[in-house]
Amino acid sequence: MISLKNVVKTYSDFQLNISMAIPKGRISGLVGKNGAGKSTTIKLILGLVKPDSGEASVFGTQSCKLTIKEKEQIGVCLADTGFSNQLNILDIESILVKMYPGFDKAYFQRKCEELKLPKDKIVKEFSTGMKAKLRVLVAMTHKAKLLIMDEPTAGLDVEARNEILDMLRNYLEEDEERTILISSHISSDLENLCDDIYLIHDGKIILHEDTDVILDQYGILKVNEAQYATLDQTYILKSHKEHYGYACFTNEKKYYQEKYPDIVIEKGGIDELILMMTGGYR
Amino acid sequence: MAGLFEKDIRLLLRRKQTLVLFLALAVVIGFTQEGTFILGYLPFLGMMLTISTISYDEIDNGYTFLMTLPIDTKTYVKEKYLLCLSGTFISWIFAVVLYFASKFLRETNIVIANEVPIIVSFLPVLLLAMAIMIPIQLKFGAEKSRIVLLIIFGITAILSFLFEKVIGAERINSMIIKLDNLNGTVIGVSATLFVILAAIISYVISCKVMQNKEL
Amino acid sequence: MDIILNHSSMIPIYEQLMDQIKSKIIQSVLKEGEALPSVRTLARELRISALTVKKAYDRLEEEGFVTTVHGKGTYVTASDKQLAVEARRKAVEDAFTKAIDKAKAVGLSKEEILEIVNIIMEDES
Repeated sequence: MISLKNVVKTYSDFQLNISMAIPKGRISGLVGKNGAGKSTTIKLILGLVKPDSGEASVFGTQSCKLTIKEKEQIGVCLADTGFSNQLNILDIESILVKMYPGFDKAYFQRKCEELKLPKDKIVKEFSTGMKAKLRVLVAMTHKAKLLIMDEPTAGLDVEARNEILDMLRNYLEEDEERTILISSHISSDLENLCDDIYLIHDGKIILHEDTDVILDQYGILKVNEAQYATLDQTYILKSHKEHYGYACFTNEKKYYQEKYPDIVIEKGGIDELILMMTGGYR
Repeated sequence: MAGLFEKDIRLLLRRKQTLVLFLALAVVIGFTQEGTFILGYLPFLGMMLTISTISYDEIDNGYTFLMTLPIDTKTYVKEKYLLCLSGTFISWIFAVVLYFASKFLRETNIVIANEVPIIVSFLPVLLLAMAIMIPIQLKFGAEKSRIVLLIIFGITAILSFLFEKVIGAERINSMIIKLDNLNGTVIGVSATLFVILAAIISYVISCKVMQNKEL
Repeated sequence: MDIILNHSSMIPIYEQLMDQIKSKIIQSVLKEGEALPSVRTLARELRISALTVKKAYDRLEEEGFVTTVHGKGTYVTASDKQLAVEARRKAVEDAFTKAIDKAKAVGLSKEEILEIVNIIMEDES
């Protein structure tokens, strides 16, 4: 569905160099610190930005050359931009009707009711949460085969986040060929939703793993100096010096559980993954 | 493109107060001012109003989102030109109506055929103004384009001043007399062709500007 | 399906899922020929990734508990009582292997391990 082959994009203070392949029916998560390259990656995939070298393509077509019919199959939710905030829900509804042949007006109206989006206010007067819900909704109401979501749940409270995640799950269930790429800072959302995770740091993908492998097999060993000295380093991905000794990140938790039953081993989720692999674990 | 029209028209309708003011101003000027001022002023306002939709698109990285919709840069540019042309033309029709209405109130002897060249002559000028303003707005955005236009006016003024100095007032006068003597139709047609050419060049430049925009 | 997953447990999610589906099949809560929910539906209900559900379904198929018909879904295999017993037996073998590995890692000898087993079994009877 989505393919990035050795895509390089250079800016004055930053360079992106990545490869990625997301097949149909997959829901993938993109995580990383601010400035790591998540937004640039998304812009490359959507053809908003041209790669300096390499190839970015969607549905087998180069992203910069996507046809209008192909774009109709993509639903986009970007972090800080959408329709003009001078419009209201009815305006947006009328615009979408004319933009997307697959637009489902009844679904849009029903969801606006359910999500309690005000009909008589312009978007400028919406709360942050409402704006986010509207952005997500706009991307999901025209039966797109591919959804690209940049921080869809940012600024939402727990209840709203769950509403959105449930909407995404239902969306996938309706059609097995639908694919979603989500970038987010909220790891718990991704852990409960995504099939696999890409970790991007300083413009490079430093890890790509199935979500359940991360949750089941990754872990953090907390060892003191003495234990560290004799520790089997085979499956240690990264170690950080701590006040008690060392924190060691591994992708084979079981191995260490069996070999060193006395050592404290914590579960590794996406947050731990980010912190350990990109530095700064406490 | 239909979606883009829907968006721009709805945005314009949001500014009901501005539109009402615009119409009221039009009627007042139309009936108090003699002469053809309104034939230029009103359509010019119409043009500025429709061009202002560009600044709405620009705010808050709006372009970035728009380009993810099923449109391409060519469609976007086409829609802007069409919108602007329609807006300007409709305002011009309205201005013509007001012009004749106020004339009827003042005079009894009106030969419409005589008036036609005058009222029509405003159109190429308006088209030229549009051809200049749209690419500038697209490239520089609402804020900066004001400055750019001022600079252009300034440069044009300086150039004409220098032109006059270099060539001399007399030769300019004789050139103007020669032009005056040319057939009105020839002037009209060549001016129109020149302006249409300018419009085409403007469209091509606008497309290039949009294609190269950093999103 | 009333499956309860413990996300804080050290047991991998797909394993918990497998175990619970297995016991439902063995206890005939899920009957022969009955269809399991689709991968995406179960993923939605349990709020986990679809790949995890798929992994569980694939492993269950390997062990002979379910069969996947491409394009139609996953069904409980016409189970032979033998198959169920076989699987239960294998599960016990696996548990024993794990316990013995742990014991060895701690440094217990074969005799010490067998002694522990005897003590436990005597306690039960």
